[in-house]
Amino acid sequence: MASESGERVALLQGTLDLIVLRALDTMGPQHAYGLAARLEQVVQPSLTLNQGTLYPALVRLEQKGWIKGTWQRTETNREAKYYALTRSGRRALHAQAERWRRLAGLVEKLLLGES
Amino acid sequence: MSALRRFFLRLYNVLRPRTEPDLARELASHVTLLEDEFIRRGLTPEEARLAARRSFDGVEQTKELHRDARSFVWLDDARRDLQYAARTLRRAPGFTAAVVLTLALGIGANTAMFSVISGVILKPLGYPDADRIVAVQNRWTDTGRMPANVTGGDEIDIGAEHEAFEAVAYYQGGETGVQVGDRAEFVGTQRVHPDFFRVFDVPPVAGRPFNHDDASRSAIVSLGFAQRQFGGAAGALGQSVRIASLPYQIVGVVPAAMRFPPQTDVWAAAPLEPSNRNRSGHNYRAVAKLAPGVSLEAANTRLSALATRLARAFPDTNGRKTFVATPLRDNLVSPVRATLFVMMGAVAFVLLIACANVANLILARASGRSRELAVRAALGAGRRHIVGQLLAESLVLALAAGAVGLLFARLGTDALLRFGSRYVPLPRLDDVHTDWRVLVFTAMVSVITAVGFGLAPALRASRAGVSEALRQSGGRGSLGTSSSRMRGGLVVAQIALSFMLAINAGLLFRSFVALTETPLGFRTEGLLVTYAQAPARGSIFDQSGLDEYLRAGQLFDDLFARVREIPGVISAGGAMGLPTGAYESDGSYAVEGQHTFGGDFRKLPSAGFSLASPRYFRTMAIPVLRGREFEDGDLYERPFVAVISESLARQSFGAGDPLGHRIMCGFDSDKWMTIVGVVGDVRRASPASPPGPELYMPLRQHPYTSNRLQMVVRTRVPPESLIGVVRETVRSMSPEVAVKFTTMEASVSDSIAAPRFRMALVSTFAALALLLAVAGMYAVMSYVTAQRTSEFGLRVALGARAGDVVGLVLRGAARLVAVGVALGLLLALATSRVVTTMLFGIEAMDTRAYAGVLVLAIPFVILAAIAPALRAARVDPMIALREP
Repeated sequence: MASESGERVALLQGTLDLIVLRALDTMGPQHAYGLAARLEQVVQPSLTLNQGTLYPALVRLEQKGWIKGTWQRTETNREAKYYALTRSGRRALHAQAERWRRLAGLVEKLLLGES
Repeated sequence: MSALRRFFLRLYNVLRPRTEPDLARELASHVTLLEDEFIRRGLTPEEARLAARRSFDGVEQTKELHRDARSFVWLDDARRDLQYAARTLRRAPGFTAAVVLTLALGIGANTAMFSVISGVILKPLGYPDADRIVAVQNRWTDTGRMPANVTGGDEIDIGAEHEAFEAVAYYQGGETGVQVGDRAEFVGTQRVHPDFFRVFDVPPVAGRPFNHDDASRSAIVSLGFAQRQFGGAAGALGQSVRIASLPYQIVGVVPAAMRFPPQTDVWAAAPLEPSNRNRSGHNYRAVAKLAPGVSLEAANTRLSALATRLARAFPDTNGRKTFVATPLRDNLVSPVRATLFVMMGAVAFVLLIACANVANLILARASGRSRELAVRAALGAGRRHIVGQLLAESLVLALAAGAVGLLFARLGTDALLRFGSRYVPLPRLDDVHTDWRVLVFTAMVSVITAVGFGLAPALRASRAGVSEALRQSGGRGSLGTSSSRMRGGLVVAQIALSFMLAINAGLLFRSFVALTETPLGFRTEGLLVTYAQAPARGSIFDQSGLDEYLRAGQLFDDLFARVREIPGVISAGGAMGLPTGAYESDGSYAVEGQHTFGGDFRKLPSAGFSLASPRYFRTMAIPVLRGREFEDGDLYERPFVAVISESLARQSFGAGDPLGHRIMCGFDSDKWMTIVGVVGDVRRASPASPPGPELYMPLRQHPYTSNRLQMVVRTRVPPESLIGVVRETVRSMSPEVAVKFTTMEASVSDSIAAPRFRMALVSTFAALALLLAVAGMYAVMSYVTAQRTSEFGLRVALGARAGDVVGLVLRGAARLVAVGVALGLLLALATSRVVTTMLFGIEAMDTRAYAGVLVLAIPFVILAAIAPALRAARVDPMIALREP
């Protein structure tokens, strides 16, 4: 595995994790399908996301203890695993969001300065 | 959230396959929800399912992604590798058994040995604040010797060092007749200062420890003794036992954890101060507990300051003396340290050889499999996978070996305790547990070996390149010359190490034979030994007990007379200080006209002191060289006489005639004794002790210890067969006399138990080592000949006879043996320095030991090559050549 692609994945992961946390924060507990549907709405249509790629992110977040999954029934009476934000997940969201904002601001500034 | 927690979660996930169904269920639910959505958008259920799957991009792929995130891929792989390895190994039972047994042997032997050592000797003593318990000893400043005993006078002064010691207790004793009711029994008995139990501080299971009011009145007994004699701890309290006719009331019962001095059942409270207070008789031992916060060094500083003061005040007795406190544990270990060192060394070498053997086996297997590995590589297995699989095999082998090794360790520990307990004084079975640290350590060593040697060929195989390995001829791919050189080197190392062990074992064996063949100065066969002790009160020094002691002497003389009447008895006599027996005494003597007795004892010659009855020398078959032996008329009221040994005669009289000269010693009287006889020398403590000057005095003229003696009976029937009759005879004369039986042969054998134990142990390990070396030799030669099958076929086809092929193989083997043996000889020369101190009667360079081992062992190792050689000679040239 080459290191450059590793970097790209890491960046994407960070982004995806943040997006998932944010989605759970605003929407409340969601199953993976619901999250995927939400992401498709939020992310621009050109950047379609394979729904499967969501799972590694969910596992990662669950292992970190930021979200927790429980089996429940949907409104259509299908069973699904609902993920909810934990307290440490909420803290992490704030920290990540803050970090992200600062990073975004920095990149913005750099790009402005160059042009 | 730490990396560590994630690590464990992942680990957990690997070990818990339950998450897999959970994932499948979640994905199924996801797809179902997608289908619902597509149906809502107007697709048919069939189309909806397909669309859902498509947009999910393959369920299996997602599972894979998920799994990778969930756990370590390599751990999943590892599990698979382990399963595969177990299967592969089951298919090669011979190889697996050889490796597992070899390793298990090394692991088991090491674990057993170290378990015993650590359980019995290295473990903390188990007393409260055991690290503060010290033994206080004398040290002679001129010779540096440290005898265990101190004098009564010195002990009193040491006991006054309250700033250094919380408690100081003297003690004195051994096996002695103890009377319970009207029965007498030999029991390990110590007279101890009442503070003895402040030093050891073991809580009694019943009753209480001593206080100072108990002095000379009370006793504490072991739980075992209480159960044997009184049915239990509670029943023992308040009962009384009599020691030397004096009653002691039992005030406490201590658990088995109290086991100092070893083999003691009765601790009788002694007077607060030793009864013998002079500063020249070293009759007492002392233990102490350091005061809290006082270091060993500080205590020793105070002791040497005390010794300096005493040296100034009593220059004659204390001028060359100082006192040293050593931790009690060190004190217990130091006499056996050399033996332990040899044992640990031998067993460690066995492990080393076992590892070499395993390395060899694994190398052989790996090189035989290079083709298999190459095929796997060609089919796309990464280097990581091939190495991983070999590692897994090593691990499975090591785990199996660890399990079998644990079993061996258990068996070995039991065996060691059973055979070793005669020599190492402390062991109690329930106190020794398998030492897990050692088990883990040795298992690690074997894992590292297995992995290391499994890895080297694996790496080379994976590096060698697929095509090369595949191109190599036939099913028996080879890893080339460097591998066979490595294997040859391993065999050489095994041979060298095992010969080193064997030669050391040979030295110990020759030394042991020398010990058993050494003439002791008396005949050991057909001699029954009876330890006897009659009750006697008081002391001969203040005349209070003189009559009783003289009566005891008469009692024993009567006993000898009665025993001589027993059919099968040739003669009977008695002694105090029988060779290889439990008692020994020595000191200075003076010869009239040559020295004056008293003053500085250093200026006087010294000798061993023994008491003997009439006919003692005849019974023992100690030759009377001049004059006469003791007679019935040599009684207390008659002129005092003595018999001296040949060495003493030489030491004090040179070529002159000692008969008629008068001699004096400080045994129990200050009377001149006329020398009436000269007898042959004997070896006193054991066959290893050199014959030395000995001064014999009549039992009846020295009543100091006349209530106990060792009766010797020369028999014309097996001596053991008379035990019952002698016991009955004693009982009929006086039931209060305690007796204990052994034979002189057993007693001599016990006196060389330590060298026998060392010899047996090192020989066992050497035999194991040689066995492993022979196995290694066999494995290598089999491998080499298999590699050269087609070459041999060609040779035979071209006219070589079977003998030529056998010779060819054997020459190869002989080269390995020659190098191995040469190295082994060098190693033996280097290491025999360690056993030199344990040798008796032979030099460390004993050529017969070296030659014996070479003559015995070399054929075995060469023989190991014969089977493969014969196999090579039987090769059918057609088949051998046709093989690809």
